Amino acid sequence: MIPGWEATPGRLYVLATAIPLVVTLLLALAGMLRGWVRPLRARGGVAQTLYWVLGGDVPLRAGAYLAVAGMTLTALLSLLGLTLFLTQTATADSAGGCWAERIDWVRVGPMVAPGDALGTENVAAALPALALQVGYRIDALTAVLFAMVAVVSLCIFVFALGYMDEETQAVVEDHEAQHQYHRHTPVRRRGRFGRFYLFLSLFCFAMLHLLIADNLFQIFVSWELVGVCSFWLIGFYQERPSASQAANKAFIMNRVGDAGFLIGIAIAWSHLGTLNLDEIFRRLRGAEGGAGEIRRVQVLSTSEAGLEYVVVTGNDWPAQHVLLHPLTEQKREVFRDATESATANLHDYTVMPYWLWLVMGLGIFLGCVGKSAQWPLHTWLPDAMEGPTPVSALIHAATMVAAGVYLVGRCFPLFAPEVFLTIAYVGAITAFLAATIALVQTDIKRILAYSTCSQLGLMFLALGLGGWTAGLLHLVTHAFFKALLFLGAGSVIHACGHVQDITRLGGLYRKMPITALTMLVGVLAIAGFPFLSGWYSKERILSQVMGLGLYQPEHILLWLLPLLTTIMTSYYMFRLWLTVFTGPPRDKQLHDQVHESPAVMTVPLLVLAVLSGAGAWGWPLWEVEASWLGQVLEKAQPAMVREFAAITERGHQYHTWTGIVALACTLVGAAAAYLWFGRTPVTAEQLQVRTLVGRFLWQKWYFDEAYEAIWVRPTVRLASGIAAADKRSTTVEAGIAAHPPSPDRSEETTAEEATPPRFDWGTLDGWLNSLGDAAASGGAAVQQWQSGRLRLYVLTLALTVVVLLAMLVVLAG
Amino acid sequence: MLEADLIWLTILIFLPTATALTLLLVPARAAEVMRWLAVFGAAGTLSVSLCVVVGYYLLLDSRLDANGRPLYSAWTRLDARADQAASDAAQPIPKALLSDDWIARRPWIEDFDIYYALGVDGIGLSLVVLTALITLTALMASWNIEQGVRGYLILVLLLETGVIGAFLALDFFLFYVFYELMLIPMFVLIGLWGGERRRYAAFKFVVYTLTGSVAILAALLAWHTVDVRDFVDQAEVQQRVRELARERHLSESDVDNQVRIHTFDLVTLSKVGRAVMLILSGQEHRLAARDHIAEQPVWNQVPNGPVKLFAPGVDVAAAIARLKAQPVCTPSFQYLVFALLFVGFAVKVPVVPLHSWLPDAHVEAPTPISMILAGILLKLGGYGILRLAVPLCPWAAAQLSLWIGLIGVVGIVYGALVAMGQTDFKKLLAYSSVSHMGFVILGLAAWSSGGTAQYWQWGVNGAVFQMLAHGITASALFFVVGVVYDRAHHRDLRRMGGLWEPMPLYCGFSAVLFFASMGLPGLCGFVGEFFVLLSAWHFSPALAVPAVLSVILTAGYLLWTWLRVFTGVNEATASFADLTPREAATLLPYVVLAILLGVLPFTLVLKWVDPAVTGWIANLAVLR
Amino acid sequence: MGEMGYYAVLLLGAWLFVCGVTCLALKRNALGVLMGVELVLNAANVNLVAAARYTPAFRLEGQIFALLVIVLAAAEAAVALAIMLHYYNTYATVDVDKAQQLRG
Repeated sequence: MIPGWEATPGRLYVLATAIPLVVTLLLALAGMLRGWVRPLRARGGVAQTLYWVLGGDVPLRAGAYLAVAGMTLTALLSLLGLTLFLTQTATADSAGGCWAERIDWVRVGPMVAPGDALGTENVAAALPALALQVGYRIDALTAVLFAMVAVVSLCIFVFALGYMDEETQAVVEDHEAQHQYHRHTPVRRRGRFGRFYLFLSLFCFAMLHLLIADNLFQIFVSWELVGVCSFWLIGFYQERPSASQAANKAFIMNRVGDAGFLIGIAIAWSHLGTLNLDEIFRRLRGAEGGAGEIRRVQVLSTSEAGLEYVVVTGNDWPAQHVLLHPLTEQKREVFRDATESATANLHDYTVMPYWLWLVMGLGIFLGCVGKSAQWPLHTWLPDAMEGPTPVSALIHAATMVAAGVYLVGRCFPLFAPEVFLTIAYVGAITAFLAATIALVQTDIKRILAYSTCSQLGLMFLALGLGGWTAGLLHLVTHAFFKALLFLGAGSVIHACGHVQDITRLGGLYRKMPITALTMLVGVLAIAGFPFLSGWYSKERILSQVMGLGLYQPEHILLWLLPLLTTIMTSYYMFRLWLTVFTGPPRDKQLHDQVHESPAVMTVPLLVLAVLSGAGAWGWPLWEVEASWLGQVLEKAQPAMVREFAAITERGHQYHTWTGIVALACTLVGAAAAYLWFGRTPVTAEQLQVRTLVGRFLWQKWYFDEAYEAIWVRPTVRLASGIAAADKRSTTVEAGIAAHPPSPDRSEETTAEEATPPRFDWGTLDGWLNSLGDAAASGGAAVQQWQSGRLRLYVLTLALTVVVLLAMLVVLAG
Repeated sequence: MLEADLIWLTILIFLPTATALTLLLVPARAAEVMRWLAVFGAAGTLSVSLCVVVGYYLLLDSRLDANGRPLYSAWTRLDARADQAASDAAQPIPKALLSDDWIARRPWIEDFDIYYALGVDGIGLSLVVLTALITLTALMASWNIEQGVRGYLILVLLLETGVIGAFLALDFFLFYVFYELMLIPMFVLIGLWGGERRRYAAFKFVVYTLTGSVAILAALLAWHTVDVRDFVDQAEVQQRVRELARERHLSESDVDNQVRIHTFDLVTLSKVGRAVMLILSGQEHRLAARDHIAEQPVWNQVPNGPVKLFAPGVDVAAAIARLKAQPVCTPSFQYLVFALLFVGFAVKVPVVPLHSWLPDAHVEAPTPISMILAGILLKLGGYGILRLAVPLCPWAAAQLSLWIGLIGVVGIVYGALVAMGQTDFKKLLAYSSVSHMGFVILGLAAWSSGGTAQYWQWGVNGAVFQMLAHGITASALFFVVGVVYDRAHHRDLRRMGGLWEPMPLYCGFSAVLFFASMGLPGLCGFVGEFFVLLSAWHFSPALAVPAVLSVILTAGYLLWTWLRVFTGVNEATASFADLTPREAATLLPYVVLAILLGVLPFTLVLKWVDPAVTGWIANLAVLR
Repeated sequence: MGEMGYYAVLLLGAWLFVCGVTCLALKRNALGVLMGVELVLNAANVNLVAAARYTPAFRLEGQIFALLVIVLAAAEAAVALAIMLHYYNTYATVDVDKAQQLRG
């Protein structure tokens, strides 16, 4: 099937990743052909046949089925890969527990090999040959996440067959979009089934590619690709201005993060000479897989002979530099363990400034902040709910937003201690902030969106405190139950004719029992009830948090905020479930039309419910550490996690207590929700916020307004200011508006050719034009001499001769 | 007998001219015939350019370097081949009638040392192919030009000759001739076939560009005063000495010091530039004479090792003394000439604040001319800096590199901000060109040397790639504007919107191009910017940070444009027809290239561009 | 002594020349201007003859050129008078200040 696949089983993953890409290309090609022959369809012949084969006016379902089939294949391959990986690497030890291969993508310049006439030691050794390589690296983390993404995607692909069924019609009426002038005519458009699956498949490719990549470059490529898919899918209902705006906002917010990511990449490239993650770790920490410790050094001197430095020990940071280990295998032998001071060959060892190491980590983390919608770049995620619900489930809950967490986990050995603290704080703040906002929202999807932010914050918090397995385990379990919750919400929304407002829903339990029950599993899982998948991961996170609280009590926020978040999570999730499914219906008319969703939607719900329930089980069931998933992930845990041993140890020590506290928090939240929403029927008015604090939370802490005022408007004002200072816009205002150009603009316009403002001192263009004008008026001034009077000419001639002669005499004499 | 490569290159340059002449024979009423003829001529030029690519690539691939690897033999370097050609020509019996070195050198106006000298390397050739492609598509986009078809087509084809000639010229004077040749057709094309303010725009274009040309001309004359006798074959010098001695009735030793040799040959002149750089930076002890006129250059010279620039048989001490006695060896000359060249080409690039002709020219020019302007003409600026300004005056370029980088960054940020403030679609794209071309300047400026010269190499590769990528995205986007202008008859972004639903194919193509222009990975715009940013950080983080932040601005203005043009509901645009097959065929190559170049930049382009860039870098980086 | 004579004649030539130029510059009557031209030409002639007389190298050349100038002056006068007649026919004046068609 794959050449040499016995030797390189990782290529299985390459194949699995490529399938969605092929599907995308096929769909794009079909779409292009259809667009090409559409204008010709009336002419008959081949064009017409082709047009009808490609679906004609009705969107073709075949494209969607192709995408689902492709995704099924990918999911099967991913499960096969996971099985193979777990069985094979258990025995294989030499590969370092991973399958990896890489090839050059761009390598510029001649490769300088040993034996080149020009003296390798002088040239090539200072930095490794700069090559951007592409490759894959499959370890336990990748294998698990790959399977997770593939399976969740498959569920969502299938679900969307039902959810997006109206897109299969030739004409869709979009009641939420408005015509510019005829505000009350519904907007009609063609269905876009194929386009939806095209972007969904492209997204899956990008996401899977992100997971198998072994270097920052490929990760960055995927990073942007998932971002752009997210852009297209958020703006899927392009007739709605809100959707397009939300898509823009998401992309630009992500770009802010990406700019940070780019800076991180540029620093790695400039100082480490590679973007391959393993190589980066090795350069920073020495031993294989980055198992060693960072050496902070003070450089005493650098010369041709070598580099002299003192290793800085203890906590007297910031040290000036970080010692960078030589990259190549051969050079490692030269390494002399330097505890007090040592000289090594200059070209074997280099240093990078400590602050740049910090900035590199912070930059990469900024990318994660953007992608994972963490404070302060969190505002795009709730807006992204403008997209279709399957998109929210897949991209904005289960996979793409989790990529930030994945990247932090992946780059773990790259970060400085200060960066870890930043990660923890950002995570804790986001977890708390988003949870408070979720308390009062009434849009079913927005509640889930804020909950996503909040849960991602918990993951970052765990990672920042060294809870590597905890954070990534929560990533996986969260993907299961959050996808489940979103799909459940999608099922409700679909059944209720696109009503998302919980003040209009209610009492749906009897109408849609499967949705209600599966969603309940999700709610229990996210709240952290024992023996559901969420419990295993959340327990671990809280254990890490409590460990820190006992170890470094000065970081009180880092354990107070997550506990509060746990209470709030439980509260708002139960609030959501109770409001939607129990009690009397708040909108009778709506309630009457509702019926359970078709099997194509409920089966994915059931699958995800099983995964949310049992996805993390292990034996014994009540032992958090025994979780199967957790144990698999632990295999990929980087060795440097031991730097957080103190925190983890204490967490272990008190983990019974942690369990009790966590359960108490969950129960408090659930009980509060039950007291308010479960016992007595709640009216729509009671769901609205009234208090001052409530309003503040309803307005999302006014972040959007603040950003609008601080960033967006000044930038736009600056841009238009500079644009006005650059050149006065004459074409649009003066030109086109005044004279609507005719299509045939050949000879007639010369007379009224608009004269541009000549001396327009207010603009750069005007300044430069005035140079030209100065030349023109200078010419005009000289023109005066040409009076036409003969006598003047003669006089000038005579005087010139005199002057020239005088000059001759003076200069020569 | 003529060499094969001379014939190939001459055909490549003058095939458009020949087509233009044939157009004169077509009866005036047969406009359709003329259009097809012009398209065939341009397609023929594209085919010839591809043939040259193949030939050149075979040349590269057939020679191995010292380690047995292809593509990086010294033979891939223009200067090495030029030296070899000079050496061959000096032989009593010139060899290689069927020479495959892709260097052609014939006397043109010998009294003034002007040669018809052409040479091919990856940098020039990649731009030639781009030129041929864009001219072809621009001609395909010209079907709705109704007035004066013949003149229009002839001018476009002459323009192509000028541009291709400039990309291939190895003689400064020849380069200048071609460079000027392309100016006139452009002036007429804007001035006659343009929009309402076409006269203003055309004059502005001509005034700016001519100002630049004058600067270049001044530099050209300045370089012609330089005596290069120690850099050329000494046999030629001896012959001059003999001639002079016979003329003056003096002995040869008496006139030896009076012989001056002047040249416009760019390879020789750049050797002078490098020698001057070594002298001015206090490293004259490193100057040495070559052992053979065609000695193969090495890739990575040992730092502080000898730099062999003088011709074999030259007394190095005397040569240094002679060089030092010339004005060329003064900082002021170097600064002045570099400034002249840089400003001359910067007008074309364009850099802020010399850019203000560009929006006017673009807005007034008809769509195909905008495509050519953005796609090709701007590249001549970058190419000129790469081929002339920096190699001829490396010392000044190195001294000023931080400032040049700053100019690039200012262009990037300024262009992006101004683009954000536009309401005219075409003007917006014009300013985005300013922003994108800033990356070219930044990449070229990122001087680093010694063991880290690779970073500069990435920057220069990025700059060349950015020129290609911008050529593709910018000219395609101008066509995109042209399509919507044909239907809406305006370019006002505030009155657009809702184009997606009626024009799905158009929208799909535009999407690829928009995101390519934005620098989305996997599309062509990304590669150049990414490489330049990576090397810029190594050069100067202070310059790299604003350049990196500009990606936010770029996304901002392009997405905002996307929002205003394609999304939403708009009754005014709802009945627009989708792309016609001809329009789709015009856009398709751009879309395909935007994707292919983004996915396989190395395989398709850099593989044969980089040897040239590496040679370029190897010459310069060793000097510091 | 001979040198003194040479300078005296050259001085005369210069004097004539200045007179001619002054006449050219100040006279409004076209005929006066024409006379000025004649004076200038004759100034040159004086110089040429003087050079022929006092400088051995120019003995022949000086005389030939003087003859040439005389011929030239005659030709010039003929053409100039024709122009002037035409001018008078057109404008009914011989005032050169009235002729300003050359104004740029």
